Amino acid sequence: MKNTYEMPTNFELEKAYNENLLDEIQFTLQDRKEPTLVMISVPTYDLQVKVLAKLKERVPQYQFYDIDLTPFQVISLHQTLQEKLPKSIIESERITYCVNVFGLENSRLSSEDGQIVDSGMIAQLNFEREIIFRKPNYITILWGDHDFFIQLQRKAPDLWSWVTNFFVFKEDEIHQEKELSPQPHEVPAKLPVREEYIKSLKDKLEHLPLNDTDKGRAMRERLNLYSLLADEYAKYFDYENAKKYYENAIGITEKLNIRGNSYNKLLFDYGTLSLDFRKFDNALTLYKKVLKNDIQENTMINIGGIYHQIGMVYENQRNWDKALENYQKAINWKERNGQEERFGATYHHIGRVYEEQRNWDKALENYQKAIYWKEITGQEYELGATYHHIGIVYEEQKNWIKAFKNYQKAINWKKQTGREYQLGSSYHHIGRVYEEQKNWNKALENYEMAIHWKEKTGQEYRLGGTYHQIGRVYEEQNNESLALDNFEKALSFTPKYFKEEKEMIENSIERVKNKLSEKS
Amino acid sequence: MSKFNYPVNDPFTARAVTEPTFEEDIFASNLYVNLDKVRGNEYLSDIKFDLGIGDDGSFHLTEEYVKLIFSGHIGSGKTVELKRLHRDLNKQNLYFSVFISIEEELEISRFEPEDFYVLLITKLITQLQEKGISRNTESLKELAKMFFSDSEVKKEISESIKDELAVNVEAGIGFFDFFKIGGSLKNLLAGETKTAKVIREVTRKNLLHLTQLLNDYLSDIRADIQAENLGQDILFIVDGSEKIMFEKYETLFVRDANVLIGINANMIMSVRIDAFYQIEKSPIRFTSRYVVPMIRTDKVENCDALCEIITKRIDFDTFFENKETLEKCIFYSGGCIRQLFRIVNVAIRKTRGKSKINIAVVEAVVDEIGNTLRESIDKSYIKILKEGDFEPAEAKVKEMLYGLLLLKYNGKSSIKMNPILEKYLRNANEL
Repeated sequence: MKNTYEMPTNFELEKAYNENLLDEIQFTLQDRKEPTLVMISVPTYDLQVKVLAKLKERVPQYQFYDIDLTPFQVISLHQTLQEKLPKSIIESERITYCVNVFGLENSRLSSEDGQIVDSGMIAQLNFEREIIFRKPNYITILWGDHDFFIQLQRKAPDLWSWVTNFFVFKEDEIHQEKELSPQPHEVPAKLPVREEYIKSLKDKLEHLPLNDTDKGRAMRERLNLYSLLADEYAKYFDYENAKKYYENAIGITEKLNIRGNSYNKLLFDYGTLSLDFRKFDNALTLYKKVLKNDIQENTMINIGGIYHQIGMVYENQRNWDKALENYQKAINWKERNGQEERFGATYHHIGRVYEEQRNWDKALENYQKAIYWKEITGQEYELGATYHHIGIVYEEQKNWIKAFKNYQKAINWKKQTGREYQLGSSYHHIGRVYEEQKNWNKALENYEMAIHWKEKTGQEYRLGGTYHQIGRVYEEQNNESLALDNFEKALSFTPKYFKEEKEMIENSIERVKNKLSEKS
Repeated sequence: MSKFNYPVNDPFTARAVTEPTFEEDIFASNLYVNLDKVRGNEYLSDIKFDLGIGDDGSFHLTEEYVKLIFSGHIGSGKTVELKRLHRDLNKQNLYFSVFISIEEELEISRFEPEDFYVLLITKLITQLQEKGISRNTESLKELAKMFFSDSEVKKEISESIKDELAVNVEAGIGFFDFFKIGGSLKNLLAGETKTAKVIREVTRKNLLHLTQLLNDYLSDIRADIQAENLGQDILFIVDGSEKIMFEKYETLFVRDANVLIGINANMIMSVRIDAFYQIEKSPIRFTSRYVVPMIRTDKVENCDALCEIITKRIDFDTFFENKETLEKCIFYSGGCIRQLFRIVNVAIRKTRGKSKINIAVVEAVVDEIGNTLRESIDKSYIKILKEGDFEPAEAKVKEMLYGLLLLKYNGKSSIKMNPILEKYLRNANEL
């Protein structure tokens, strides 16, 4: 025997980590005379497929049987397996089968009179410990997301105390073999790395020679830096600086009489900044200018995208007819240009318009179309947002269970596609679902998660909404002092351009202050 | 007959014998390590004293029927200690002891408080029958009438026990036979059977009357037991009741505790560590309450005893690089035997017989477990852990005791953080 055990320390740490885990599982499964329960946490479906395939290769002495419990509302795992597994497995005399159980986590909650309630499945697992571990004539492998196993640990301590075979896989490059389409845009966020980049750009700008003999070149360098700074400030949610640099860049471009794509891109990006910060008239003017330029220059490839953006401006202005008209034009142009990969985004927004109009069926129909196109054109990174909005539709309809499930799907997709910066909003909405049900603790727990993700991903400007909801929960609980703290936090995080939100928060502050003074 | 030749030196066997689900008669296979010295055996002496057994082993019938509450962490060794008590006390000069493992006898998820009383009766009758006592007393007949008069119930039970009885069910079976349900009780009470419904309804409505009948039966049968030289008194040792659902458990041990106390037999019952503190606050007093403490790992003799638990099962030289490594496992176990097995089991899995377990392996195992422990709690728990003021009646502290995040040792102010969690939190600068 060698006396060494070395932890992987190289840059391929996670790959090595996962390979080690496979070795460990192999050892765990091999040569079993008695049944056992193995738990495997995998972050993504693709990784699950990979790991399972490798596992089957590594322990050929077993027959594997896969069962997905997603369609069933499981209360008793033992009973469900007894009912669903073939007789040959149930009555097997020796341990010859590994039964892979998928989708059990979907039975955690159930709906009772329209309310989401704990289904009791985890508590049942706790009671069934003896049966699940010792009684079957097969090895049970429970696959699930990490959160499910954490819940098991919290809520089924007796069961957990028997668990030694728990394996947590991490995403690694094996997973990357199934390529998700690259994300088209860099994630906007107030990240330190962006601050550093901005600083370096500004340093360069300061060091640009003022009286360079080649004025044109200096201007172009300046233009380049202005454009970069504008983009970076936009992604940093700094409207004023972004605006300043876009205008400077556009000014230089016009001065240098540069036309075509680079000019239109600046106008387009400035339009998008204006849209994001609710300067709708400016956004519309800019997009229309780009549209006109593109038509004049016969650059038809971008027309669909521009109509889409114009549709978004109208959508934000709540001018539904105009929004739908422009989205339809966008679809037509995209179809004409063979840009199916862009259908999903537009159908998603058509869905949003119908959602705003409370036309739930139309909204869902378009969200489904969006999902279809996003899936077949490899735009998985956008699926999270659509599932999130399907969640909102169901939330509005007070169909809590469906809302919850879609928010969960949204979270899963956002995690899988690296859109962590969007996670906060889904947790925020799950918080709202619980708040609606007056399940204050769960609501607060999810709002805290929302804050965690928003902070972690530099989405501070979105914190105001969540702190406001936390304040509302405390207010509902008659804890005005904590409510006030959170409303004040909400106000401090809400950008000044969000006038409606600011007004709502200020009203909330006034209301709880009145309540406090009445109490005193 | 032991399952293996201990200590084992094959990695697959080592894996098996360190799993929490491993079943073995640890007394017959010489795996049992007496922890009285390290854990303190006062509580065992006290239990025996409460049960009327003197230091010299002499027996005195207790003046009252004693009800002892026996608690301890998940994995602290309660079952082993209760089994040992059963083994020590189930003697003709002491007790006719009936050991009941609720987890094995009933389907816990469907447990109702009423089932407990039926279980006591059926287990007692079954065990007595094994010893040749099958007296059908008047009180038992009354009890049978209460439970089994319904024709559908009769049919269900007859069907379920016909093989065991090997009698002609068509010809009918006697009332007494119904109490021989034994192993079938689990199925009957777990399903949506008429038997389950009737037994529970009847018990709920006639709980006090039922206790009176049971007491009368106990009184009759006690005389038989003494006459047959099977024991001087009756003792029930109930294990696994801590696993039943909290509200059912609360009904049994807190709300209806007076009924339990009113049963004329001595009993030792295991309870959840979190509920233990609730019972302590209850106005209804059980005779005594005991907690199996975690073993302090800072004393050499304690550490040696814990080492012995492992080295009796797996071969030290085959699996461990040195003594220091095993001691590290013990340190991180916090004196919780199941946690110790878990550390060693995962370490075996990581080395797989290809290398010996060394400190780096143990640290890797502990980090892995620590991460999972940390993930199970939020910042409000961390706050309590940071403050270090562990008031056992406080809800979150109770929860953490139940979840093994906090460990209870002997003495006052003796609740401490699980060392694995503590290490993890310190490394993450959360403490």
